[in-house]
Amino acid sequence: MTDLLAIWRKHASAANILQRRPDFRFDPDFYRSQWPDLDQDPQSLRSHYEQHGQAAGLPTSLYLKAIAHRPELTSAVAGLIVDPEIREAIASGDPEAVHLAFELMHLGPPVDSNISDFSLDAYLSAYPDIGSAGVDALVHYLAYGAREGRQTLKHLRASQYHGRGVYSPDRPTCLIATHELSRTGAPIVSLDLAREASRTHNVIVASLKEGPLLDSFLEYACEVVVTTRPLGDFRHYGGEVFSKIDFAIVNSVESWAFIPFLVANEIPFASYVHEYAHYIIPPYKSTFTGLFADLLIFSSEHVRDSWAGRLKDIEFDTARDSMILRQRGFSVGGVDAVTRDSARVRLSELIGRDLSKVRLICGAGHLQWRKGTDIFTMTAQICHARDPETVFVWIGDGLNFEDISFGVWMKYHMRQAGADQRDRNLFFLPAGPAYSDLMVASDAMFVSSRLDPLPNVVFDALDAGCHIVQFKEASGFGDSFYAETEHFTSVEYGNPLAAAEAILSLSRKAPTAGVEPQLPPRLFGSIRKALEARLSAQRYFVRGASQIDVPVLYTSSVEDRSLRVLEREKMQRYRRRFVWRDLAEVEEELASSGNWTHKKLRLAPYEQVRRVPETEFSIHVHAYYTDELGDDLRRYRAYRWAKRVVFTTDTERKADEIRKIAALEGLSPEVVIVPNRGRDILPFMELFDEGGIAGESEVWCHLHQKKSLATAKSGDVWRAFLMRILLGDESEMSTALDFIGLGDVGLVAPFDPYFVPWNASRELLPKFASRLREPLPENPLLLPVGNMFWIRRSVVLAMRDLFGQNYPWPNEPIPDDGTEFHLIERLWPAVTAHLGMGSVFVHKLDQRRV
Amino acid sequence: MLIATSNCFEPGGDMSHLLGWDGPSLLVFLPGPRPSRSLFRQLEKDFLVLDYLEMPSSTSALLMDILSFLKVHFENESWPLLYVDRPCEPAFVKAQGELGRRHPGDLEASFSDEDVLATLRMGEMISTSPVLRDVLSFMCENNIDDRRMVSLLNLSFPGERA
Repeated sequence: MTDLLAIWRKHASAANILQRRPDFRFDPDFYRSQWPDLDQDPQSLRSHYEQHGQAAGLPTSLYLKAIAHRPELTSAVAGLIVDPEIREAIASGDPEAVHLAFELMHLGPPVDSNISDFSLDAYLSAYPDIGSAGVDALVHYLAYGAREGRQTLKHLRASQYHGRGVYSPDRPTCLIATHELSRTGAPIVSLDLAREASRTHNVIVASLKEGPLLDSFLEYACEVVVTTRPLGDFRHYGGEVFSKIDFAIVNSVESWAFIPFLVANEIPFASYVHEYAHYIIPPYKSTFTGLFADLLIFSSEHVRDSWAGRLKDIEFDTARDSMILRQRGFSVGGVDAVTRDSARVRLSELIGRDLSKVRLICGAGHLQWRKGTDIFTMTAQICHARDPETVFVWIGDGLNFEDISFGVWMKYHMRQAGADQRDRNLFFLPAGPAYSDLMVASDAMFVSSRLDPLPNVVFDALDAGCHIVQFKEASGFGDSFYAETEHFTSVEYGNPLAAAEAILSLSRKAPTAGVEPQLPPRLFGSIRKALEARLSAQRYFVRGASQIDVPVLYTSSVEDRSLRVLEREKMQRYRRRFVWRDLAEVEEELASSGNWTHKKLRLAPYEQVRRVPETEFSIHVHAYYTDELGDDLRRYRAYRWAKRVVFTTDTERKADEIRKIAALEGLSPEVVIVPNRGRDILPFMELFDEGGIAGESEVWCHLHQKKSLATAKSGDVWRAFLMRILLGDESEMSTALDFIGLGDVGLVAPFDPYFVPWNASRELLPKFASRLREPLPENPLLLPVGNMFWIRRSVVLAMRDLFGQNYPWPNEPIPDDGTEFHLIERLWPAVTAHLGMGSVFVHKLDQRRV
Repeated sequence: MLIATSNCFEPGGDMSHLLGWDGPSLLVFLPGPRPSRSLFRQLEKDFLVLDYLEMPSSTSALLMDILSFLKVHFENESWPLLYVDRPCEPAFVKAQGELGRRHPGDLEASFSDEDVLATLRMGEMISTSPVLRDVLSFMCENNIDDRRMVSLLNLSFPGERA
């Protein structure tokens, strides 16, 4: 018979509660919760139970109370226990064993996770709503969570795989983060990294997804974990290797989800970037990677160039904090005639056409727009008319003719091009064993990709002595390091005719004697050294909370405060910007800038006054949504002091609704119906058409009710932030109005704690920059973030002039960034400065922004 | 490594008395008047800079921060360590450097009238010992005062005094 009390004593002693609670069957604190007036002394409580509680049938522990209502919980408790001694006691049928198990789990960390698959911390971290509801987490899980399939340590532990790499405390530990374990480009690079790292380091591999490479990773890693919540999950993994991670390599931007964990634990890391910025969507993945990586390593110059705008947006020092490291060097191999000819024989049998004498051109990869499989097909079509003996073979998977975005159209195109017909010159093979024959047999590879960082298939083709035809500016092989060698021909981007002409002028591949295989590169060693050098060169460090506290990676909750401090420390250490440090930093930046727009920007503190404003003003509200309109009209006194209140909306029904809501508040605004175009800003600017509704009113406050701001909780908070600073409250007026009343001020807006750059609007700048008096700055520094502001009529007219009459504005739906409307938001201060006027940004740091 | 807090120099003032240190030097700016961003950049040519926006909770926490931020230096380089939290003369800095090199296992400290650590010199056997991090970590967790910190360091690294 297992001594249950001995087990209790062992764990209760470690949890430091043994003295107060010597027996798991009587919990003095639980008992007192039923008699709150009783003394806290455990002995008195016990006596009270014996004299009164027992007769009344009161439970002495939470377990007894819980199973009185739900006896079925006992089996759920038993199912969670992993401690062999307790399991054995439960299996023996001892009814007190489950009681003991429950009460031990209820002690919380570290006892719960030591004896069971339940962790209070992990459960609350995964489901914070349970904690905030004040529900007992263990009881919740047993009663509901288990049935609802909620995750416990059991799931988490099931995603931890012990590898065959042997942990040594004398070795440094490296975490290699990868987005998945598939047999594709970036995960294969991760595997190469893990293989090399395991010779000198303890290796942890962390992936966001499972995949077929798992077994290969286990060969080299001490541990492999698969998690989408590394910040919460890592502390629950078992194993000494997790106790001290010296550094990490985050391979691919898609692995960005590991960054919050790394920053929270101050683990230095290098991000190995293969992706072009153009297709990193949403862009915050690249922003966070750039903000927090100690070192950004790009696989080619061309990929790094694509990041230039995004890195400028966060004031990233590219020369200091980034480098190029190609996953492989440049080398060219070859094949002898026998090998080549026998590969051609096998391929001929496979596709049903004699390939022995043809000019053979291969393509490889998933069939998709990015790889340009359609361009490969067009090029084959052009060549067929000119030289039917030039044959194109593409090898790869991914063609799904039920996929409406690509597969349907590609399949039809292939059929019309006569693909896979023996009298034609275009063939497709699935990925598989024919791959190496195709590389060996081919004279050249045509890389038809539209954007493709550094595809491994090109290295394979080079190893087989193939010539490479590619588009300029389409891949990392466009770097002069490769492109300027005789083995590459680069033609105009996306031009199949140019590609066809280059291919038709190629000579056949000459057989060569056997070529020594190239040694695998020391990629891990190079990254580790580069990271160490970067860390060693760092000369500025920051510790402590800066004045402006808004979240980047974490939440705005009180619990995340220390994490927010850590993220700001790291950004400030490298002088990268996403959040202003404090007002002094803004002042300093404005004072030191030589740009003409910045010289016209200034900060001012928020104040509010009860008096009727001296400056006559009008308010414009674009109300595409009307949900909170009534509340707004009540909440801000300014509506009643305005000379005019003009609403724009897009339907008569909404216009009626607005009139009714306003009437309830005793207001009779002007309501104008406008097309749903140009978000909130075009309806405002069009009020200023000649003879338009704006008339001669000089000072305007532009507001909007857009759903993008008002639906989510954070949007509500943000909108309240903007409205308060611009308008004041239900009885007083913000002095923002006083600033716009000054003759030399054209724009007044809330100061935003986030540093908002040009972002995707950067690409539009060249189109308009020459229409302003001097060059625009690298970043605007301050702008009316959220596009709500006080403005003078002349500034609106100047903005209209900048775009000219009859500008072809884009129609809805529009993307979340990078349109003319997003550019306008950023250009207001510049246009104001263009008129010789200043912009004032009103700060109220105690107003919640997020 | 020389670690000089802003109590031993004027932010934005003359730093020449600290330039005599043979090895890396770290300026620790405690909360108070801060140099401009451009002056920080200027200082970084000669010094490492640690900018505290909040007061560190203890001297051991400060030293622990330094060990963490400069981990690569502590692991790969070798030098005595001098911590200074009071105004000092160039000769003092130079002399302490020489003492540190002559006595690699030695540790010497002085305190202010308020029992706050004013100077601490550790020979290179202590400053670059892999154990130092664990010792300081223990001190941070237990939030111990400066006198106890020095006592514990003496206990942990008896060196030439043993």
